[in-house]
This record gives sequence, C-alpha cells and structure tokens, in this order.
Amino acid sequence: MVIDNPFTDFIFSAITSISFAILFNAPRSKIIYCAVCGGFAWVIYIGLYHATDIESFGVFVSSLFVAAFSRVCSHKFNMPFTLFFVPSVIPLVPGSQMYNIMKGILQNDMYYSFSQTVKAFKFAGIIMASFMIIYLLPSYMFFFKHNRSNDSFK
Amino acid sequence: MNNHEKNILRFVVELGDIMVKNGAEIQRTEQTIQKIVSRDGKYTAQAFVVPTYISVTISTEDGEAFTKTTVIHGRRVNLEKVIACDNVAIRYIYHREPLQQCIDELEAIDALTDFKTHVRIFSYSLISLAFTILFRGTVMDAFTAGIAGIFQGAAMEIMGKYDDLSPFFTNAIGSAIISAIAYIFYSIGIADNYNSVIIGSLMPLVPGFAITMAVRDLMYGDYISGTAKIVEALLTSIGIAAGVITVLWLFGNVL
Repeated sequence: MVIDNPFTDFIFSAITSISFAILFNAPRSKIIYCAVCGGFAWVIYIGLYHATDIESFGVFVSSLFVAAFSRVCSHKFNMPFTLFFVPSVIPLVPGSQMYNIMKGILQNDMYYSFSQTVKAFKFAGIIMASFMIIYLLPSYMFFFKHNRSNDSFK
Repeated sequence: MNNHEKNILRFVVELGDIMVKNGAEIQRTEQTIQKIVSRDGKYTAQAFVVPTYISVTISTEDGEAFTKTTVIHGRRVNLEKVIACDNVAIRYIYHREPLQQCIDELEAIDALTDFKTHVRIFSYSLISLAFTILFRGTVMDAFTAGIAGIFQGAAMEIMGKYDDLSPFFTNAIGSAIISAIAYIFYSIGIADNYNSVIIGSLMPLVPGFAITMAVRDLMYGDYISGTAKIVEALLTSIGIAAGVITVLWLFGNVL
C-alpha cells in the first residue's frame, strides 16, 4: 500500500529534517523550525513536479523557499543561516543520483551513469543558485518582526 | 615572534581546525580567520583552507611573517560546534573579549557532546523509513527500511569512533548491512520490493549534501576545495554501490 498524500508527505519530510538535525547536532530549540521548513521543501517540490513535469523547476522553487525561510529564521533568532538551511534542504539534494552514478559504472551501463552524473550536478547547481539569490538580497527584505539586531538597517 | 603573536596564531589555527573538522564552509572559515587577525589593524593574515589542511600566515607591519599549519583528520558535521565557534569569533572581534579567554573557550567547544547514541541510531532508522515512504515504497517496505536503519545506525556509530577510516570502507559496510536485511526480509515475504527498501535506506549515507557544498565552493572560485569535495563524494558513492552490489550478487541476484 503506497501512501500518496500531501499531508503525510509533509510529516515524513519533516521527520527527515528532524532526524538529520539530530545527526548534525543542531541546537534543540531550533529543530522544530528546520522540521517545518523541510516539510514544505518536499511538498513544494513534489507538487510542482507533478504539475509541470519538470524536476528542475520543482527543485528551484522549493530551494528558493527553503533559503528564504532559513534567512527569515536566521534574522529572527540571530543564528547563522546554515543552521536552518542544512537539515531542511536534505530532501532536495541529489542523493539517489549519486548512488546511481556508481551503480551504473559497476554494471557497465555508462550512459545511465553519465546521465545521473549530469543530473546530480544540475540539481546541486540549482540548489546553490537559489541559495545565492537569496543570500545576495538585502537583509531588510527578510525582517518580519522588530528585533534589536534590525535597528541599524532601518 | 612575541607572545601575543604566538597566541593569536594558535587561536586562529585551532579555531579553523574545529570549524573545518565540524563541517563549516571553507570561505566562512577563511573570512573569520582574516577578521580575527586584522581586528587591531596591526597584522594581516592570509589563510589557506582546504578540507584536509589549514595554513595561516600572519604578516606584521615590518614585513615579518609567521606561519602555522595543521592537518585535519576525521571530518563530520556538527552544527552546534560551528555555531559556537562563530560566537567565539564574534565575541573576540566585536565585543573585544581577551584572547586567553577565547582560547580557553575553544577547549570547551571541543568537548561538546553529541546527542546520545541511541537517539542517533533511532534517527538513522527514521531517515530510512521516511525516505522510503517519500520515494513511494509500500508501508511494509518502510517497516523493513526502519529495521535496516537501526542496524545501519549501530554500525555507523561503532565505526564513527575511529577518526581515520576511509569513507569508502564505512559506507560499503553500512550499505552491505542494508542490502542484506532488505533481501532477507524480501525472501521471507515481509518486504514487497527490496529495491525500494535499499534506495530509501541509503539516504543517510549518500553524500548529497556534500556535493551541494562542493558546487558551492566551485561557484565561489575555490577550485581546490570544490574538486576535493567532489572526489570525496564520488568515493563515498562508489563505496555505497560496491556494498549493495556485492551483497546482492552474493545472494544470487545481480540487481
């Protein structure tokens, strides 16, 4: 029985982000924010992938959202950006493509291996491009609540 | 080289060591080192950081230069230590904390402990289970993946105690354990498709995040670190694939 529900997708993707946050030793109080971010990451990706049948578009918009959310959280809690970005972006990173590269090589299927290599770098590049887009925007776009650290930018 | 310069060099190299050893970004480490050394305006620093090696050179106004180098063993990702190092650097640069206090704090950072072992093993299991469901495996596949994840987590925790094991070796053993459990449960009749179980359970091992960081380093122009991280990611992936294919071949089934 395959579970195909957006709500369970959100929950299981959040579980993934929580577990990676535990493995990466994130501070406990911030794990819940990583979880919410990671849940939305997968749901946006799968929704856009099924709607447009273009995987890259799903990865792009989803990682834009994750980067923006992480930046808002990092300004709100005065903690570095990577703390929220790293566990939440894990559902999007090209994990299975990396495994398939080597599986293709060991099974002598070079075309498959090469196509998975290119896909892996493509998705990694897309994630990093959206990370840099959000990173280069000015900080005042990401303040939603008045904070002592925001004063110098207003 | 007077006492102050000795201490700054020692502080900066130890800080860089802890940051890179726990997965901080290369550019951020280099920038932090530069800002720390040039806080008072008397010295300038050139920091060369790659994933396995840090070399810092401090130059004074007279033109004298001092260098310290360290080799980094056993890299893992520990966000709490990276954040703590960042805080120490901010406190030294902006809040003007005395240098000796910062050096003592580095020892405290190095002694920070992870979550408990059983929590970490349970996280491996949850990751395997959740990814199997996300990749559209059946519920029994997910259950098998959860069980495989527990054994995989135990193996990775035991092997994680040793600093210098090759990533090829540790990931090959981890993936061999997963594939063995997946195929055994499939032949008993519990799992429906051992392929879905294996693909879902591999996600904790797979270097997806490493390749993303490698591409980021390349984008920033740091070609040495980027290439080194890509090669490490490929080495890890071939270890995983080798483990899976060997076990499935031993069970009489060439995937």
